[in-house]
Amino acid sequence: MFAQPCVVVANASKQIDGLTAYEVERIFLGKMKRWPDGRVVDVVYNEEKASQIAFSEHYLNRSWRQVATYWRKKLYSGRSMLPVFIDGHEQVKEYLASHPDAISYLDSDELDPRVKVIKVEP
Amino acid sequence: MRWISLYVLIILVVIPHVACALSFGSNVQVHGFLSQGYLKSSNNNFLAASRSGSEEFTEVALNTNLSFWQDFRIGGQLFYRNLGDYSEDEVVVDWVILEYQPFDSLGVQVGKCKMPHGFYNATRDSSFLQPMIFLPQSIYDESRRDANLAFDGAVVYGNISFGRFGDIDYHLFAGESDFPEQSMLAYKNEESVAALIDRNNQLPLNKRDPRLPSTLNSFERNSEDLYGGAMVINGLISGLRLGATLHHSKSVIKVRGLSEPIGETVTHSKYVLSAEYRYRNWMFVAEYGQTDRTSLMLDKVSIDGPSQSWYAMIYYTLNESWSFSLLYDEFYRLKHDHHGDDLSKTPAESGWRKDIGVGGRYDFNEHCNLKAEYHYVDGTAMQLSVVNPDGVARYWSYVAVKLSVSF
Repeated sequence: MFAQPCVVVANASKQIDGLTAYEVERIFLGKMKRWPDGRVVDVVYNEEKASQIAFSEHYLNRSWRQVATYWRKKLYSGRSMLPVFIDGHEQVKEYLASHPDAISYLDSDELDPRVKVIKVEP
Repeated sequence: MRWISLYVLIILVVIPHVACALSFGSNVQVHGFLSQGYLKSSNNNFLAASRSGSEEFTEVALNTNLSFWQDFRIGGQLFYRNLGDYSEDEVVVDWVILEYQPFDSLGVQVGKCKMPHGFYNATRDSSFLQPMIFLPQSIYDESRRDANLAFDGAVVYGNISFGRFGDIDYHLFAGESDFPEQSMLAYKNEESVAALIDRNNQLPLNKRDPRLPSTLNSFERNSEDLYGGAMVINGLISGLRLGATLHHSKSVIKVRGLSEPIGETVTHSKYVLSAEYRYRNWMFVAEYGQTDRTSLMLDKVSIDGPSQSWYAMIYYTLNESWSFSLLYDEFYRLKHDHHGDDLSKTPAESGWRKDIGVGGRYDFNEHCNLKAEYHYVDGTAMQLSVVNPDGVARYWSYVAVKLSVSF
């Protein structure tokens, strides 16, 4: 179903070697709000369909619809704002390039110097 | 009214930023939803004049949030609801909070906050997010929604990680319940007090209770005590959530001219135990609750003892568009009396409510869905007599359809 594997990425200058899969899940579900350096993580969901599905099923153990419902429940119950949702790899890279604390995911063949791959350990 | 003023203040702060609200990475967000439904029932009315079919089934919400200084957030939600006689039919502040969260494991919200109760009470007004139109009524009774929806006070909360054993979300709260004046619950309380005064006035002068006035000039129900907590364990096993909520509350009924309250309701403990398991296209949910309460009116006990509630639901997602639900739901007014034998002056079947429901949901896209469901019910508990002044039938059913759009 998915042409390329999905990789977790951040701003190219972000000083981080890697995260565990558990930390990636916690970050994208709003449970871990800070990078190890103490800065608030700017979570960005890439709405490019194949990446969206691959990321949510592989890293969050949920369907994309379940992820969207999860965040909307937090929003309408007053427990959280929504993370950023951006449609398309190029737009995601533009956002990451201008937001030093942002994290997102891309197809592995969409990488360029504006972003840095975060190694995810099991 | 103070919450409306605070929400207006938030809007005034947010409006200058609205032009950027939909751009990438904004710290300002504006969202909302609109739902319109149709309710039709047999034998008994349910929440509205549903025996003849009712479109009095509308919800509109406007949600705004602003984050600032990294750890602070201010937000609120305006809400309008039309549900027969069970709604206020005006725009109200659903919640409005100032939040400070310096750590993942510790944050605080103050304001008008949603009440943690079971898995779904905090989101019950956004039914478009739920599998079915109506949450299981045994735990999420629509007729008592106003007393359990939100409170004025503070919440301390956080998420604590236990590594491969999962994590825990916790909420500890205290404050006062918010009883809307224009709600069915307030109306029922006022009706009871008026009837009490009326009966008292029929008695000879020397037999009347001096604690009651001769006329009901004003009536109010005030919260004196509310505190509790909620905990959700996530990820002990992949796909599993376990939850527990517990709270205590006390409210009193006051009538103008009297220094002491004429009635009170003490909820000694109201708890819900919850479990949800997701596996591939399936979701299984079950919740069990008990409410141990005592209601007094002029020292006479009207109800004393725990009620009992539970339900089990299966939710299956066929594909991106279609999903289906099956529900079985039971409620007993008194845990020790499943047959209604201890209820005086009311039929035995007013002691329980057993509901089997089946529903379907079609998602046009992420922002628009259509739901429909059918319920067959045995029992008339949960205030059914309010919308059925001519009497209620033990066996009845209802169909609900609802279209929702969010942005």
